[in-house]
Amino acid sequence: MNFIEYVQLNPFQKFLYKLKMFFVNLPKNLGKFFKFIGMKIAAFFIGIGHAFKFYGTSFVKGDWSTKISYLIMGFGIMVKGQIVKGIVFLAVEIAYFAFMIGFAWQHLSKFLTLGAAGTETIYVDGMPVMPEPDNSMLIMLFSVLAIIVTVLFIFLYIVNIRINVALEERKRNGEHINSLKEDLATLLDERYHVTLLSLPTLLICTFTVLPLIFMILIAFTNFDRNHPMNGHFDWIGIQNFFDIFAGNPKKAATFQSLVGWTFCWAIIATISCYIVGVIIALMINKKGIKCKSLFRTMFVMTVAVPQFVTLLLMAQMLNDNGFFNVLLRHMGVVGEMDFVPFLTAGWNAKITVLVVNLWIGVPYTILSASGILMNIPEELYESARIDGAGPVVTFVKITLPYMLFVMTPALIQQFIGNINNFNVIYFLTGGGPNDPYLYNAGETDLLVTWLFKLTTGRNDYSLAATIGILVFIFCATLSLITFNMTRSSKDEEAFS
Amino acid sequence: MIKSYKLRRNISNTIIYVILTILCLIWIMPLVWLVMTSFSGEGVVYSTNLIPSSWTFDNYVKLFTEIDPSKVNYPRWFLNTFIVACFSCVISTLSILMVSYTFSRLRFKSRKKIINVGFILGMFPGFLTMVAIYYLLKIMGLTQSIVGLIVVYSAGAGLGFAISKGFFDTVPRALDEAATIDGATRNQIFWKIILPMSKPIVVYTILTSFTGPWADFIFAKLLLVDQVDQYTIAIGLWRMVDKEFINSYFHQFCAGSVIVAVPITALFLKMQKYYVEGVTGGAVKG
Amino acid sequence: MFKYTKRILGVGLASLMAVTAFAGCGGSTTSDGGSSSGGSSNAPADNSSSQQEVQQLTIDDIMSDADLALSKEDNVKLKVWGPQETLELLKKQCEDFVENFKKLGRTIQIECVAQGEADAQANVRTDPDNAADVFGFASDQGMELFNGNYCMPVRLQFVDAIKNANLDDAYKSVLHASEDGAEELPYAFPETGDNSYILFYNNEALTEDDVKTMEGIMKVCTDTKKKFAFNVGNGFYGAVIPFTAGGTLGLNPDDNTLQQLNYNEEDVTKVAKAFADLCANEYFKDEDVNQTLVSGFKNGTHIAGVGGSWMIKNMEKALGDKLGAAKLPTINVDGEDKPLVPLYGYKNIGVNAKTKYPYTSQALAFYLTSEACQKERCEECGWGPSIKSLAESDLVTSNVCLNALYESQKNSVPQVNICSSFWDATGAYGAYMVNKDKKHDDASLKSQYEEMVKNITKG
Repeated sequence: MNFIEYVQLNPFQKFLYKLKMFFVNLPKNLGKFFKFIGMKIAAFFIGIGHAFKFYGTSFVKGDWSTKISYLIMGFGIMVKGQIVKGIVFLAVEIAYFAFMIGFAWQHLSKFLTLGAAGTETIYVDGMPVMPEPDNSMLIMLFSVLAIIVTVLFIFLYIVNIRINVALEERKRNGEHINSLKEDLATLLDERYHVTLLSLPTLLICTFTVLPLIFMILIAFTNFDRNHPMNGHFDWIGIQNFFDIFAGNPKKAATFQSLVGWTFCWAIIATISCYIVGVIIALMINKKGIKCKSLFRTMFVMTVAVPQFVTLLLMAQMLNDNGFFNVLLRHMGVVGEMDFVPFLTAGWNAKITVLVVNLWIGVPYTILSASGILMNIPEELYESARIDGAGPVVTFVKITLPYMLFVMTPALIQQFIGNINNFNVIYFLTGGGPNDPYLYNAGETDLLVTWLFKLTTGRNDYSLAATIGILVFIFCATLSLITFNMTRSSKDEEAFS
Repeated sequence: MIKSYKLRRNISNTIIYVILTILCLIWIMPLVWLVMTSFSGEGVVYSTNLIPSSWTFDNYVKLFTEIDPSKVNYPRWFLNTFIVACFSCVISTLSILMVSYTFSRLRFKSRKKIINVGFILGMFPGFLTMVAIYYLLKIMGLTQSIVGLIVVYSAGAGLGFAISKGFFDTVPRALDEAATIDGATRNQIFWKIILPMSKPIVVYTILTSFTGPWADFIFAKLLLVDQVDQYTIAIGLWRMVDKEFINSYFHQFCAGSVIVAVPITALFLKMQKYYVEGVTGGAVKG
Repeated sequence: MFKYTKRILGVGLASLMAVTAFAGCGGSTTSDGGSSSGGSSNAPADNSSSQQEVQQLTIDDIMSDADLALSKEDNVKLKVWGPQETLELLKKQCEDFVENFKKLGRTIQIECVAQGEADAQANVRTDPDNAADVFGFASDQGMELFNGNYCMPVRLQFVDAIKNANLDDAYKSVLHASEDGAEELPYAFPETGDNSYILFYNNEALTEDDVKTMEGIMKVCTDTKKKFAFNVGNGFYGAVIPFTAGGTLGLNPDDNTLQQLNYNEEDVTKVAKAFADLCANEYFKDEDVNQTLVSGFKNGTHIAGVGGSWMIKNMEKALGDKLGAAKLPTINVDGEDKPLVPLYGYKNIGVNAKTKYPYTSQALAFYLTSEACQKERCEECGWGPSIKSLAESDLVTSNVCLNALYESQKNSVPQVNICSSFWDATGAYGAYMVNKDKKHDDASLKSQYEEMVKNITKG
């Protein structure tokens, strides 16, 4: 297909074409990708080589204060006039060594063994004294912290030298050297992104990145129900990954079964909500229908009520003796003695959660679809009408493609959201009904609710971490692909 | 010809009205049942009636009068949630707007890479690492208290930049350029020009970050194990329908849910417009 | 170049400073956690001999002598977890304990918080440091709590007292050996002897003779068109099938975390077949009795059901004088009436191994499980006692439900050393047997049996 043909396609077809080409080109691109990675790695090492050369020559050529800066950070900077900045560097160096020697080393030194297991319980005058094993969790956490701090320190060390060299050159050329005030002023203008990003970055690093690294490490240990919190556990390599793929029949069977259901669930839940939502939105927005906002408000009410309230409520209503069953008995659909096990029998529960999810999810679609529908250019419809297209044709040829095009990113987000849809499953069925063939999981469990149950009820932390990593890898890959394929990233400069 | 077209349209519109009304009823019925039950004076959990046989306001009154600090303390839970919501709303809104403005308007080295990394991390549901987060907070002494909750809810907020970045992308860059020529710094542009122009997305961000804590269950349960005093509404209400409590507290649960739902619903309906603009990433202008 | 390096400096500094600050906070936690490791290694390690050396104490001894009970502990703050429905009584008993030691010159503060047994043990395992000092748990949770060192073993001074006072099975449910071949010592205090199920029935519809056999009950049900509820599809109740056939439970000796089943396939299948035949009756209901039984009795749809001891209070409310209770009926297997054998659990009180006040916590747990407290719990909350003398007293024998429980305890399998895989697999087996729509020929019975064994024993 050449460019002219491509431009003539409607947006939806363009998207399909891109999708097709993505898969057609996948092998080639993968090849490119690995080549790219290889080159990057090579470039990295070459870069390190260059860096050593650079710092070597800088050291040899630099003046005495630069040379001292290789040992005492910030010294050269102070001498060259930027006193406060120099002091900050010096303080960083002192703080780093104090931190490492005074605190971090005792943990870092045990990182490879994760400490030692405790001794037996002993009795002193009849009173039991419990063993005090090393706390592997703390060792791991502080070791990771120490490593991150060290990397940061090395980085600052390099920065220190670079500033020295740069300042030396400016001095030599007689250029202006910024005062502290001028430096700070740039933080509000040229370097404003530093100001804006530093606090969020710090928070994210501490509460997202650090736990993530930590969790990845846990996946390679045997931290489980037999190795209590606060106690000692060991590295076991990739045993956990091996277990859930093949090594442990029960865990592997559970993993397979849950992956299957998670995908079924995510696909059906996403598509069903989308279709029903769009249809209702179309009905509400049809010309000649009055009370549009009343109808919309009715549906939107369910979005506004906190989800856990509606879900807990639904769980009560769908109970074996809940509202719906009582209603059915009154209507004579089921006998006085019977009930429909909405949530307590395998397939029923699966269907029920999907239906309830429809109830929860459709209003969101209505909300966004209404907005989009109002935005479809009227000319498109007019020209279609002139061409003699009926309502069905207009819908299939114009409305649907347009909406799909605008909503695809949102749909994929929703798909990922559904893979991680904890609330609906957990509050309605709690993953149940339980299945003896599965490892601590029920028939409606998703990977994430399984993970939650493994963590809170069973203390199988390493298994939970392993699942978490796999879910994360999948979601991240999927979203990265779509993010880069859809217009939002490409057209971000469209208005500039 | 015209007449029959009108007739056909009328018939189809009538059908649509009927369908919409039925659907509306289906959607609204559970909520009606919730409200009805909250006023019900029947002592049983699984009532057979949609409309209660006896009406009472007791369930509401009891929530605020029958307080047992070791079991149920609704007013305190409400206050806790409100405090958490306010604090995390301020912190989250600021971080989201700061990050998304930076990614949208400022140009710096490795910007693309940083955005991609942020995007991937943003896809990551925080509770997958809950053990690690729990331990981290424990070391900081923040478990068992709502301070820890505020931290958890707002710390990662900056990663939710995608939607507001999409919005900022649509604000014409010419504005910045004009302001720069007039000698404004980027700091001034952000606060004085872009933010006032972006009311929908600011409201949307405030709205979502304020309502978040009212609904979160996982972290509240993880952090506030037995600190009934520190519970938030979500976990408190969940406790009320736990099998140990449901027989005595089911009607109060309904009343409590209504009390939470009313303000949030009102807020939401009022801000609906902004929400739509937010969700569709600024693609739709209201 | 210049611009670039300075920008990075900003980010780096901010994070480095925060990182050090954050690390500083953590420092204190480790130092007090780690310092005591190995500190007590020079204490006597031979626990079997030390047991004989210590002076045995009774509840009266410790309640009258603060030094014996609390050692040097003063200004103690404890947290106790107990289930919601008995919280008021628990508070009162804790206050009595506090009052007693106030008189003896010690200050104790106790905070009681509602945590059901299931939540309590999970929360203890999730974070022992923030968990209660003293908490209740069901005996089937014991294995994991003891294996993970979450429970502090009982002070040797109390061992004889709880051993002599409690029912044998109740005492066995708290025993644990800290390592292979070590002597078994109690790791918790038996609190109740009633965590099981009995037959509840409407004594206007069924006579005492009817309820002796399953066949008798089903006959009346069929005649009167009323339901009999027995949740065989739940492992807790479904376990009667293998146990009635003489099966017992143990742990795999190689690895204390896997279940060992001492089942005989032929016998179990015979009992299962008897169940299948008898329950192919529309008035037999395998349903969640927690939800249906009380209301079923109230509105007359049920005339009998197998339900747990925790339902007693509600049953009394629902049926009043019409409430009848008996130990489980017999079932006819190949012409022989075999008594159904229930799984019989106990509730225990454990002391958190991480408690700051081991002496006070132990004394409190000892007090809460003493005869006086168990008596109060029995009178006010209907909890059956684990103390032998109470179980044989009027208190129990005059109460039809508790008496039935105590009767069934005599022929039961204690709920100890049960792995979590046991429940679902046993339940699934039971559910299959009483499902009228499934085939019950020899081949499918065999394959169901094999499935169950496989699912239980493979963890």
